[in-house]
Amino acid sequence: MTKQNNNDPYVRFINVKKSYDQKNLVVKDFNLDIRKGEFVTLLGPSGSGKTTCLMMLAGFEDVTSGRIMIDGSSVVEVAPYHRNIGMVFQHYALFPHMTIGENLAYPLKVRKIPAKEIARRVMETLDLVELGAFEKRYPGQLSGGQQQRVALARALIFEPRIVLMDEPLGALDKNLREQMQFEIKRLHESIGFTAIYVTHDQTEALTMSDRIAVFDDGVVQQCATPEVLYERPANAFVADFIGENNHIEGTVRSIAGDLARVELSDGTLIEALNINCPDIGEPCRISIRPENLFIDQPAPARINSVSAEFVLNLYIGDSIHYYFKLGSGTEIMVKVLNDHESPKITAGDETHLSWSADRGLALDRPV
Amino acid sequence: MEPTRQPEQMSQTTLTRDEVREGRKKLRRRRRVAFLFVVPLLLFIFIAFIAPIGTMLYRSFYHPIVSQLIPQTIEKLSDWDETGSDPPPADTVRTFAIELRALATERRSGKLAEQVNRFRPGSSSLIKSTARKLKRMKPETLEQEREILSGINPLWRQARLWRAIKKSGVIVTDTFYLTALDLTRDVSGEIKGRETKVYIKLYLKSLKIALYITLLTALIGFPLAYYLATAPTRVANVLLVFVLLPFWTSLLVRTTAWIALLQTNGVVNSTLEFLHIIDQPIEMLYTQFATIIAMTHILLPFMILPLYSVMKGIDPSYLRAALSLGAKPLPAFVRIYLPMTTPGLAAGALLVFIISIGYYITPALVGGTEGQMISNIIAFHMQTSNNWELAAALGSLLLILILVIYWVYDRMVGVSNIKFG
Repeated sequence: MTKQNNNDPYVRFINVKKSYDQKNLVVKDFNLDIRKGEFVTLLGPSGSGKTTCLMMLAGFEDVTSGRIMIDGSSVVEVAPYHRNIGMVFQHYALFPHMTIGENLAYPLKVRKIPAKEIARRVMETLDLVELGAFEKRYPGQLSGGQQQRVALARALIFEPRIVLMDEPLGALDKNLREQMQFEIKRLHESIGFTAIYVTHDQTEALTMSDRIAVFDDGVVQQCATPEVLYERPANAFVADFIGENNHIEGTVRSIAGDLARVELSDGTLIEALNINCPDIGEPCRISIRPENLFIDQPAPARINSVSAEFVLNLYIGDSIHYYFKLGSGTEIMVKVLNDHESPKITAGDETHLSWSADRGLALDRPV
Repeated sequence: MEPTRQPEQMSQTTLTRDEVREGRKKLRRRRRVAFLFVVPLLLFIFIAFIAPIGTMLYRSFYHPIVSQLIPQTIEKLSDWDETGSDPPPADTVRTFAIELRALATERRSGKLAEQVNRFRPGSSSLIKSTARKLKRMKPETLEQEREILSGINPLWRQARLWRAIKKSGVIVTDTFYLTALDLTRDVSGEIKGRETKVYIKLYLKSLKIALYITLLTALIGFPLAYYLATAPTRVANVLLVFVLLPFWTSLLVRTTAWIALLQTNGVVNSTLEFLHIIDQPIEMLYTQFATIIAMTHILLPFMILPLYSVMKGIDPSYLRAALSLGAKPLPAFVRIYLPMTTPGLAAGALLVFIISIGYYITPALVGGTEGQMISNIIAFHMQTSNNWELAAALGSLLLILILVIYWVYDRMVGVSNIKFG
């Protein structure tokens, strides 16, 4: 095969391990295949090893064991400056003593590209990030968002094989962050580079990625598309880390196919999707998204129903969060769209919460 | 309704006169309190800094001693034309003789001799011996005798001597500055260079030594600071103690340690001889080499600390960014990292250069004659030759030189770019 098939993995992490002190593993047996042109996000809490993986791919950290392949050849022994990987840093890392134009020209200059060609490409790339008028300015004279766009342009201008982004929007405020997410997504769609993105912000990961690898404690917990991660998390950690979730503790009574019957502490029997449910008789956890619960609806409409006491509601704006307490003391939050159908109840009222079987997930109970 | 509402609106958008007065009063009070806090500092700066420097500048051109010793003579000499070859009129000479005799009886003629001697070397003994002889004479004889001084010594007929007296009597004078710049005035009052360039040479040598020291500290300090900034915290802290150690030991101890190392039978020579690298001990102590090496050692922390603090603040992702963009490590270091250290390098260089150009103790102890700097000659004029005015002029010129260097530096590097840590 000479021609790259679009479904072949372009970047491969194979059994990659990393340890700084030869005792504790920061990254444990990391495996990930990334297709050409894919936008993959490494998501996880800080210290979960996601940035280390990125640095190993970029060549700034040694690989303790395992292999990293790009386009079919190992890059472990290749120096960072020969890997041809563009990188965007959290604090931009724009060279403060060079103008924006000089910053962009730098990767082309070290590649000994003729000056005329450099000038053309610098202007072209600056126009791409809509900063054409800023060529002669210094990074210090630009706002955070503009600096980040320059950093992005600099990482793209030499047409690298892969673009790595290490929490690139971490230093920006919320509005600017959303704007930049859109900007990065737009550039990715129009240029089609392979992108690996590191973040600890789950919304950012969900909105931008083709696939997300959720990291915890040096291990990939799940690697899937945003929809799958949100709706079918592989375990309790992923369910908890992505989006908001309600947890109800219970005991497994029977398992039939992909449905599990679970008895709650007050004796109520409910049905839930079996994700990684433990054996019969073992304790488990039911996980339900706040928007999948319904307040005080007739029982036949949904399979599962529990009685709950209303505590208070929080007015968010586009939605209202209702807080309930179960007999066992478990707190449940229900998210209701703020339309004319949002229920009116007073504190202390007893009511029923119901949900359909395929919206409740039966998971293991993390210790 | 309208008229009654108007003043209410006014009071909402503008302040009343009372409110303005009250606000100003509070502001004044705050300023007064703030000023009281800095008063001790201002007093200290005035007493320890402005007053001494002011006195020095004043002394370098204000020179009233001779005109206080022989006021009438100086006054009469002002009418005398010193460009000719005739001595002053007999009346002036007589006044001088009377005043000199008065000084001699008060035992103050030596002071005059010393002052005049500076303007005409060799005249000290003449004035002293004349004063001794005058003391023995009666005041009446001085009034009557015509050729009283030339009778004592024929040298008093020479205009040159009187010229020196007249010159030494000038109260506000540029003589000391001219001397400090190796210049002099000829008979007609025109400024000429002197044959022996003592002070200019010394200034140039001081500049040269300071430059060597600055370069050496930068060469040694840069890699060390880089290592300190990139090493793990624990290692860096230990090493930083070693950098600071020279600050905690006495300057004198450090300098004398260099004497022990560099002297003819010192550690360096005996080691080299033991290793058969040399047969004869090398003369290292009391040379310019000794001054440079000892001062480099002493001033090294002043280079390392600003460099370290600047390097510590440079995010490692800059170098990583350069590498990821395809630059090889050395060019990336030169093109990206080095320019970012400029503020520290500039601060260190400025500190070391300015401190070393006026350094005294180390060149005095290890420099010998070859390693002397301008401050040593200033100290010589303060302590040995007792020519405070010349010392003040030399010191003022040194101060001006440093200010000029600072100005040039500001134009080149920009003082606002400098970071001291």
